[in-house]
Amino acid sequence: MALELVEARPIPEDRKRFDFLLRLLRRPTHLSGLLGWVTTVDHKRIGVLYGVTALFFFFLGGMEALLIRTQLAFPNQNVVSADTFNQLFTMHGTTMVFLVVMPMSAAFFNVLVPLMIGARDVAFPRMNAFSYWMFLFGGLLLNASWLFSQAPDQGWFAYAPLTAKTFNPGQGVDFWILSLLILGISSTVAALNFIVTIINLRAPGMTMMRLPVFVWMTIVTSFLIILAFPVITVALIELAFDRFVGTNFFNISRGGLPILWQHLFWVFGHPEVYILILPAMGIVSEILPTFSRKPLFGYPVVVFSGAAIGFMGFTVWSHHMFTTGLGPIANSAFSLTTMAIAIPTGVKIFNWLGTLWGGQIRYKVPMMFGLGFILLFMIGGFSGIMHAAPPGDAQQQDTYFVVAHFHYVLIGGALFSLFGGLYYWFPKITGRMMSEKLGTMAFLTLFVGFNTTFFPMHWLGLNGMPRRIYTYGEGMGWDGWNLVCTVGAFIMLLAFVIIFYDLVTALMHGPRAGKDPWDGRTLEWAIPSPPPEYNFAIAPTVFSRDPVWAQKHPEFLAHDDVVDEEESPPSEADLPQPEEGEGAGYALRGGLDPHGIHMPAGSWHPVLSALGFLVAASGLIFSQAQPEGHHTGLVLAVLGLLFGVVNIYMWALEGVGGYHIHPDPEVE
Amino acid sequence: MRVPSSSLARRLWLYSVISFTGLLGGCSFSDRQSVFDVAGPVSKTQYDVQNITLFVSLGIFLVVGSLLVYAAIRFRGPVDPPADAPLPPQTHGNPMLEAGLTLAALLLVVIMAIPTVRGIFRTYAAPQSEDAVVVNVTGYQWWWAFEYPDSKVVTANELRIPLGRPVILNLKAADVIHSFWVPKLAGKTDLIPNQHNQMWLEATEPGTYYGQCAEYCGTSHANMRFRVVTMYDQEFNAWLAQQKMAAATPTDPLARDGMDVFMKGPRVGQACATCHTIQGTPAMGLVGPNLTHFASRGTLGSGLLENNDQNVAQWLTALDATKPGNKMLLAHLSLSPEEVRALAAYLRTLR
Repeated sequence: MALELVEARPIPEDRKRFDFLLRLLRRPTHLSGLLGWVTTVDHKRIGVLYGVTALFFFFLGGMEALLIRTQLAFPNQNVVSADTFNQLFTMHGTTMVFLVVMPMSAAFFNVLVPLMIGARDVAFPRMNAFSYWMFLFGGLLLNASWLFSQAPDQGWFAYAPLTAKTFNPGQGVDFWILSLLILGISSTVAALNFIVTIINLRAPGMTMMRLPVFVWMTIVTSFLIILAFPVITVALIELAFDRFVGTNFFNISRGGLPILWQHLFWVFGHPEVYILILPAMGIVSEILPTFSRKPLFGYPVVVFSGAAIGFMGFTVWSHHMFTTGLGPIANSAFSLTTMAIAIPTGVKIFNWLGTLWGGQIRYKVPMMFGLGFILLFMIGGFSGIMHAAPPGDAQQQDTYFVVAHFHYVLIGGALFSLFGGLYYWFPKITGRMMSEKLGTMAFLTLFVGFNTTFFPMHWLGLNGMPRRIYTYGEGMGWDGWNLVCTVGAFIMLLAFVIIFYDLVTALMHGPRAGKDPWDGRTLEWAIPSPPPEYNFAIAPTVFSRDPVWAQKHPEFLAHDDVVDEEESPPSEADLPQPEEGEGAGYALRGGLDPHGIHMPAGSWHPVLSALGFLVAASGLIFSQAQPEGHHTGLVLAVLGLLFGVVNIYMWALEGVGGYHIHPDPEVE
Repeated sequence: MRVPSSSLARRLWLYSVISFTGLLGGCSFSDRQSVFDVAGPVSKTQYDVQNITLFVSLGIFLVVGSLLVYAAIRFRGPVDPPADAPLPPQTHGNPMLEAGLTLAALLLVVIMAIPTVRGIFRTYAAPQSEDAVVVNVTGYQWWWAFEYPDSKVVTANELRIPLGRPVILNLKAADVIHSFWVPKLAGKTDLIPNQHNQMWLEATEPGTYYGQCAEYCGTSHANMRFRVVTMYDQEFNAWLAQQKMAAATPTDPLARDGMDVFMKGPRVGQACATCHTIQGTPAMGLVGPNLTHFASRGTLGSGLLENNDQNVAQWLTALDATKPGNKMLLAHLSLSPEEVRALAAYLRTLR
C-alpha cells in the first residue's frame, strides 16, 4: 500500500507573521507510537481508547463496590469509616454510570457506526477525539479527589441541600460538579457527532430502515443525550454558583427549594438510564440474529419501540420522587406514564424471543451473554414495574429493593450486553479471537455471582433495609443475606478477572480471525479484521438490510415483507438495485479513486483543548480550597479556559492536511 | 395465574410462594422492619397494591421466562455449522402477533393502574376523624423531634401513638432532606426543608415498631433511627399528661451532681444545657433533642442504643465511634468517669 503525504494548504506570504502559532503545532500527518494515539482522529482508535479507559474505571468502581460489600457483610463493622463509606458509594455510582457504562457504549458507537453504515469515519473526527480526551480528563479529575481525601460523598444524585456549602464544606462536591460538567461536554459533543454521521454519511442504498438496530439505538441515544445533558448542566451550574459565588438557587435559609434540584436532576437522570440501556439493547439486537441464523424479528417494531422508549423517557422522571410529597395527582400521572413505558420495553423482549424462535441457536459466548441479558433485564424490568406503583414504591424507595432493580438492569442488562459485544466484535477490532472456553467460564461465573449478589437485595429491601447506610444493627434480620451478597460480589470479581485474562492473552496470541468469523450480517463483516485505516476501499452500495447476510444467503430476501414493508413504491425506484453479476446484499461500484484514499491527518488540538478545560476545572476547584485573598486557582481557571478555547479555534484553522493511501486492489 | 380473591387466601398464597423461595434462607416475614408484617391500614393498602404488581410481574416472568428457556433448548443448533448448512426459516416478523402482544401488555398495565391510583388516593389523605392525633415531626441531622401541638408535648426519637386512631404527621426538615419510614405502619414520606409534607398512619396492632431515616442525609444517616410505640387510649392520655410536666429536681446527691454537670458543664463551653432542653430547669437549648423525659424512652442516640446506664456512658465517652459526625462532638466533651456516672444518675431521673 503506497502512502503519499499531502501538505496542509500552503500559508500565504502575508499571514506568515502570525503563523508561528500555526507552525508550532503542525498538523501531524501520520505519527506512530504513543504520539500517534494522542493525536489520532481515527474512530477505531478512539473507540479502543474509550474501551480501555472504561475498563480501567470499571476496575476502580469495582474496587469501590467490593469495599462497600466488605463493610456490609456483617452488622456493626468498622472496615471503613462512615465518611469513607459515603464517599465509596457516591464514587461507585458516579463512576459506573459516567465513566464505565456510557464510555463503553461510546466505544462501540465509535468502532461500529462508521463501519456499519459504510463510511470512512465519523462526520467530525477531531471533535470525536476531543470527546474522548474530555472523558479521560473528566474521569481523572473526579478520581483525583481521592488523592486529596475529598472524594464526593453526597450520593451520585447529590440532593440539595446536602450539597450546600453549609452542609458540605469540603471540596468533594466541587470535584463532582466540575467533573460532570466536563463529562457532559464530552457526551453532548459526541452525540452531535453521531447524529450528523448517521444522517449524512450512510453509504448509497443504506436507508434509515436498512440501518442495523445498533445504529438506530445510537442515534436515539444521541438525541437523548443532547436533550438531557443541558438540563443537568443547568443544575450543576446553579449548584456551582451557590457554592462558589453565594447565589440562592438551593439555599434553604433564603427560601431555596430543594425539590428544584430533584426535578432538574431527574429530568436528566431518567433519560440517562435509557442512554445507558439503549445501546446495550442495540448490541443484543445484533448478536441474537447472528447466532440464531435468522433476521431480527419485527425490525421496524424494534426500531420504533427504541424511539418510543427514548421519547417516553422524558415523561416519567418524577417516579424517582414519589415520596417527596408531589401529591396524588402528580403521583398518579407519573405512575401511569411509567407503566406505559413498560409496554415498548416488553415489546422488544417479545421480538428478541421471536428472533430466537425457530432459529438455529449457536451457543457462542456472545450469544450466552445475549440470552443472559434477556432473562436478567426482564427481572430488572419487573422490579421496575413494581416501583411504578407509588403505594408499593412508598415502601420500596430508598431501600435495597431499588439497588436490586437498577443493578439487574444495569449489570444484568447493560453490562452483560456490553461484554457480549466485546466478545463479538473483539475479533473485528483486533483480528484475534477471544477464548470460547474462558468466555463460557466467565459468563457462568458472572451469572452465578451476579444473581448471588443482587437477588437477595430484593428481599433485604422488602425486609426494611434502607440504602446508603454504612452499617446496620444486629437483630434486624439482615445479617445472613448481606453476607451472601458479599460472597456473590467476590464471585463476580473472579468472573471479571477471567475476562481480563482472556482479553490480554487473546491480544497477545489469540487465534487469528478472518473478516467474518461469526457468519455475520452487517457491513463490518465485509472488511478485513482488523479493518484497514480507511475502512472501505470502495464505499459499498447497499441493496437491503443485513447486506452481508443477504450477499451470502440471498434466499433471506425471498419474503415480500422485507423490501416493501416500509418503502412505498415511488421511493423504491430511487434506490440502487443489484445488477448482473452483483450480489443481493451490496456491491462495490465505481472502482478505486485514482488519487488514492485521502485520509485525515491527526491533530494536537483535541487533546490540548481538553487539557485546557481540565486545568480550568482544576483551577476552579482549587480556588474553593484557597483562603480569602488568594487567587491562583481563579487565574489557573481563566488561563485553562482560554487555552481550551484557543485550541478549538486553532483546530478550526489548522487546515486539512492528511495523506493518501492506495489500497491493494487484490485485497479489497 | 389465578390470584385468590379473598385477602386471607391471597396472603396465604403469597406466603407459600415466597416461603418456597425463602426456604433456603429461612426468611422471616416478621423482622423488625419487614413490609410484609403490616400493622395498619396505610401499610396494608400499600402492601395490597404491591402484591398486584408482584403477581402480574411473576405471571409475566413465568410465561415469558418459560418461553425463553424453551426456545433456548428447543432451537439449539450446532455451534459451528458449515457455511452451506441450510438456514432456518428466515421469518421477519408477525404484525398480528406484535399487535396482540402489545394489546395484552396494555391490558396488564390497565389492570395494575386502577388499584394503583385508588391506593394512591386512599393512602394520601388521612380519614376525617375526631380522634386523630397530630404530631409535628422535624428531622435533624441525625435525630427526630416529635411535638404534639395540641398537648404542648415535645419529645424526641420515640413516637408514642394511640392504638386504632389515625395519626397525622406534619413533616418538616431543619437542615437537609430526611425521610420518615416505619415500614410496618406506612411507607415513607420525605422531610424536605422549606416544604411542608404530610402523611398519616394508624396502628391497628399493639407493639413497638422500628423505623429509620430513608433518605441519605449525611455521615450518620445509618444511625438516624426511631421507634413508634402504641398505647391504649387511657395510657396514651396519661403519658401525654406526664410528658407535659416539668422535670423534678432530683433528691439523690449523685443525681444532683449530675444535674450540676449538665447545667454548667465540666468546663466552660461544654454545658449540655446549651443545646438541650429540660423543662423546669435553666436548660433551654434547642440544638439537640429535648431531654425532659429522657428516661421514659426506650432508646438513646435516636433509636441507636437501648437506654441504660452502660449505653449512656458509652454515648458520653465514645461519641464519635458510636455516631460518627454527631453534632455533639462540637462540644468537645471530655468527662471524667465520676462526671459520667453522675450524669447517668441524673438522666435516669428524667422519667
